[in-house]
Amino acid sequence: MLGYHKKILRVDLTERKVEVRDMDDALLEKYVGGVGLGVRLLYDETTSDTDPLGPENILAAMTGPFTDSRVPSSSRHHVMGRSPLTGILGESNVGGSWAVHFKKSGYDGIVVTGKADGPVYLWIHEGGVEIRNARPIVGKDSIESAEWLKGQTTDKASAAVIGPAGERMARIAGIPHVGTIVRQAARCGLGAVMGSKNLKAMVTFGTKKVPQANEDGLKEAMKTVLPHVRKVTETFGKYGTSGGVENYERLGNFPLQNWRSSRWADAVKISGPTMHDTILKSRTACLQCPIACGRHIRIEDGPYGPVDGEGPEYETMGTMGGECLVDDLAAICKANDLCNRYGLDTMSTGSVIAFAMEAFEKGLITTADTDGIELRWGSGAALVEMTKKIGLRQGIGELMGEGVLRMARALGRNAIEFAMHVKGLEPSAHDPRRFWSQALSYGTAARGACHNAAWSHPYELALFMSELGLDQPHPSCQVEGTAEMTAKLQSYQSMNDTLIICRFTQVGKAVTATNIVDWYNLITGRQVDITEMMTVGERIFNLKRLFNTRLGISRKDDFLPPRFLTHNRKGEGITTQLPPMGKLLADYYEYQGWSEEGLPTPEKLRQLGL
Amino acid sequence: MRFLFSDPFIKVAGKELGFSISSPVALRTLIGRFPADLIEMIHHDPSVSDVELWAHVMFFNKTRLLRLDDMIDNDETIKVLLPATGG
Repeated sequence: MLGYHKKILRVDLTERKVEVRDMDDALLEKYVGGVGLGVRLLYDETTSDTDPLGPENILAAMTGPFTDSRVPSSSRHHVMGRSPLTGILGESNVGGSWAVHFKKSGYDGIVVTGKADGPVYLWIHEGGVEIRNARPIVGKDSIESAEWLKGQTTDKASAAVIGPAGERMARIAGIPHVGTIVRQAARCGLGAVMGSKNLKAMVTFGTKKVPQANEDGLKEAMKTVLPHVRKVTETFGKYGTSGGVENYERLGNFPLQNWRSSRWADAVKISGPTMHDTILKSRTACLQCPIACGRHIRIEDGPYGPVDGEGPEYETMGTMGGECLVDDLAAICKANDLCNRYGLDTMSTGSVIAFAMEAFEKGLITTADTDGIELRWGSGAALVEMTKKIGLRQGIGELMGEGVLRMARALGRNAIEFAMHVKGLEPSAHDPRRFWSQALSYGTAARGACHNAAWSHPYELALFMSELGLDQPHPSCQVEGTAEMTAKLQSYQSMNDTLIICRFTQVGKAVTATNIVDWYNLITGRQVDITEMMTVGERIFNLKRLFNTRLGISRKDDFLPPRFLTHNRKGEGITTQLPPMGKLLADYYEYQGWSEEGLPTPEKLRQLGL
Repeated sequence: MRFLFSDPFIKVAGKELGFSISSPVALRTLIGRFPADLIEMIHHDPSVSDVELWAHVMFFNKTRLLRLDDMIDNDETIKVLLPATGG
C-alpha cells in the first residue's frame, strides 16, 4: 500500500534510545492513520494504572495518508496520550506545517515514552533523530523557544514546543506548534505530558517525498476541486471562524456568562467582521490549505500592550469573550497571544476564568485569593491577568491551571453546580441546548465535552451529506433521528481524523465523503468504498470508547453538567430546549450496539474486528 | 417585507432593504432584486443551491433558517447574517 513510509519512530527518553518500527499493510488497512493508529497504540501500551504524568504514559503524534499529498487542508496530525486533565483518553488534532515536515523526514508517526533526566528536545530529520539539550530555553515561551530551536537546526523547521504552562504541568496546557504560523494541539493537557517527560520540543524538517499510487490522478482531480473549495469557502476564509459569532449568538449557541445568560448585544464587538475591519493584518493558512481561515492581527498599543501574531478563533471568542462577558477585543487578543506563548488551551483557560468569575460573584473566592484582582464579569484586565497567572502557575493560577473540575472540588460548597465540564473537559463554544446532537456529542465523545468528535452543529442547521444517509439538515431539538445522525457523524469525523483532513473542508459541502474516499484510493492504490471507510471510522470510535471503558467510563459519565439540563436560555429569537439526555443516550447506545450502560458489546466488537 | 442586514452586508446594503409584495414570493426571487454589489457579495446566482448559499449568507425569519424556495409574505422581517459555519 502506498501513501506511507510505513515507519513509526519510537523514542524512550529514560534510556535515550531511538528505534524505528515498521508498520504492515494489515494494520494500515484497519486503522488507516492519525487517530486510528494513535488509539491502537494507546490501548495496547497503557493500562488502567498508567499515570498520565508518569514516564509510562505515551505521547503519540500520528500523520495519515493525506499528509503531504495534494489533498487540500491536510497538513494536520493527531496527538494522543492519556490525559492529565481528564484521566481518560486524551487527543488533539492540530494544523500548521509540523505534520508535513515530519512526514517528509521519513516517518508516519512518533511515540515518546519515559522521562529524560533533564530538559531535552528532539531534532527529527531525514538522517535520523537526535536527543538534544534544551536547558537554554527552559522557562522561555513557545515563540522565543522556536526561534532558538530553528537557530540550532534550520529556519525551515517546524517545532512542537511547550511553554511554561506545559513545563510546569498545568493540566490545561497544550502543545503550540510553531512554524511560519502558530497552531496548538490544545485540548486535554497534552502539553503537561510533554512537560512530565522533560521534553521541551519536537523539531522537524525533511524533504523526502512519500510515494503515491496515482499521483497524476490526484493532481487531475485537484484541478476542479481546488477552485471549488476556494469559491465555496471564500466568505468563511475572509472573516475566519469568528465570522459566525453574531449568528451563533442570535441562535442561542454562543456561550454567555458561564453558560447562564441568553442574549448579548455586545457580541458584535468581537465578531469576525469587526476583527476584519479593525486589527486584521492578513489571513494565514496551514500548509497546502486553500481556505486560510487563520488571522494575523496587529494591535499597535493600548492597555495590554502591542500584539502582533495569531488572532483568536471562534472557540476563543466564545470562551474568553462570551463566557466571561468580555467585549474588549484587545483583551481577548492579548489573552489569546499569551495562551500561544505559555502553551495553554484557550478554551479551557477561558472556561476556568469564567468559572472563577462566577465563584468570585458568589463569594467562594475573594480578592484575597486573587492577589487583589477584581474577577468581575466583563473585565478584560482580569482576563489578561488571570491568563498570566495560569500560564506561569502563580497564586490562584496554579489551581485554575488544574481545570474547572479540580478547581470546583477544591473550592467545595456548591461550586460543582456551576462547574461546566464533561468528564473533566471544559466545553467548546457550542450550546447543547441549541443543538441536541451537540449534547450527545459532548456526552459521548471520548475526550469529554468536545464539539469536534461529531462536528454536528452545522449538520443540525445547514449541512447534509447524502452519502452518509443524511439527506437534509437535521431538525433541531428533536429526539427522533438525533442519535443516528450523531453516531454517523462521529464515525465520519473519526475517518477524517485518521486520513487526515480538516473539518472546514465540509463548509458548504466544499469537499464530500465521495471526494475523500476517491482521494484515499488514488493515494494508496486500494479500492474501497464509503461503507468500508465508515466502518474504519466506527471501529476507531469504538476503540476509543473501549479505552475509556477500561478506565471505568460508562453511562453515568455521559451526562451533561446540571446547568445544561435544568437551566434554559430565554430571550428574543431563542429556541433552545433542555436536552432529554436519558432518552437521547438510550437511543444512541441502541444505535451504536452498546449496552444500556453505554459499553460496547462483544457482538459489536466482533463486528468491527476489535 | 423587510431585510435587516448585519455586518458585513450592512456596508453594501445599509441597515435595511424593503420590498412591497402583493402576494407571497420565493426568497430566491427577492434576492434577485438585490443590488448587484450585494448579490456579488453573497455569491448568489440563479443556479446556487441552499447549501452553497448558506456558506456565504444566512436568512432567518422569526423561527428558522430560510431556504431559497421558501415563500415570503409582505409582513415578514428577515435577518441577514454571516453564516454560522463552524468553529
